[in-house]
Amino acid sequence: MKPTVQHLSKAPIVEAIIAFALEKPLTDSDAVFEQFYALIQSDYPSRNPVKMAQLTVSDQGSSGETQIVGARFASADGKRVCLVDQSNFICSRLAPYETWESLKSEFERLWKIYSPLCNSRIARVGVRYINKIFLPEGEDMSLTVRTRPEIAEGLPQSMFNFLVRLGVKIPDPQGVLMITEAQLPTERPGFVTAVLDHDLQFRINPESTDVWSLLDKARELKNDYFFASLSEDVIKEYL
Amino acid sequence: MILVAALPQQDILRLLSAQSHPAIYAQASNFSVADSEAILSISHESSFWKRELHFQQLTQAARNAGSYEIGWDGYDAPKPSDDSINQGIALLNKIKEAGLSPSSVLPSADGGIGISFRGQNGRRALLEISNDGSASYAIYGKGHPRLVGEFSPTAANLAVVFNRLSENL
Repeated sequence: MKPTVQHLSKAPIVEAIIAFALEKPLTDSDAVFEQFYALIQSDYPSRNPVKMAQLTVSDQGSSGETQIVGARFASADGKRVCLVDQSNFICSRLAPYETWESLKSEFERLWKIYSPLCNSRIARVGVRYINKIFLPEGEDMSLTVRTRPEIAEGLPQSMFNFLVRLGVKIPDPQGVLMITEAQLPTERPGFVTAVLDHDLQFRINPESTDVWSLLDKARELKNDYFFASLSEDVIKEYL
Repeated sequence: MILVAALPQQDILRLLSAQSHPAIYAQASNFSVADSEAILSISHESSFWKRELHFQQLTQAARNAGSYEIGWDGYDAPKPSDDSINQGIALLNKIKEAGLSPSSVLPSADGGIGISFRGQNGRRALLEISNDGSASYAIYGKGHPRLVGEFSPTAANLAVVFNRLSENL
């Protein structure tokens, strides 16, 4: 059954992300990142390297090295972030969330700048929404969260920490939904702080020109999945 | 029926790090290993999670400072008191709410906890909570004027201190 999607004036979104994965990894990534930064610097003045640590363990001992694999550009207020690496182009909006239209429009604007530089087609599309929600402490979780852990009867039922990660197939259009739910340290007395993280990803034909409408479809699905995931009592707190 | 309970003060870093390689991938249905890795490469890039993990690491560093012994610096540095550590952790929460990003948390050679920040052009800042309960800030860096002051770490509103950091880092 399709859930009722409502406008939330106090949407609990802490980060909204749109991502493209490139068909081919960049060959001269440093030069691409440099050129891209020069073109967006006025809007994204902060630049930091994205590093990857590699640890090699063998019977001879262990060794580690850190590589710079990408660049993270942020707006002056830190609310808008664009991350590029050899295989990905990712834009995010941190809280306070504005609208899908503004997120998509900024993503499209930046992609039009980046696309001629990276010279690669798109192989996958991702839309990810991370929500921070507050659940009444001591309440039965089945009354609030509809995708949740189950503890067998006969075991203690008072749960003080959880991390749920599920991968499920999206039938139409074909894709995957990565669901992450986790408990964070308490922020409000009497409430449990929880994260509901939905990451929708779709593989596309690199020949496709329909990527923007696929993003809109992903947005519809992410709305459906959000409203299907929480009880009406929880949702009304954000109306 | 599962009853949710507040999270005790503890490190969730270990739990969250399990995001990298969830066991479900090993059992997953139709994805090859290559597909799974490619999908994960997008999944990791959340600024929200990155910040959450960073603050968990800083909080853990503050707790770890409790294990330092007198003379930990090779001279006669006092060990950080439990109160200074707890106040340091509470201050970290306020810093997080204010949208600031410290770079590290270390014990202070004068006794207490120090929260460090790195800014642009070699600017640095240090918030220090002493074992006697007093707190101070210093913003410094080669070629920049040094700004110092005191504050109450238990004050509800630390906007003045945080604004100073934001404006001068």
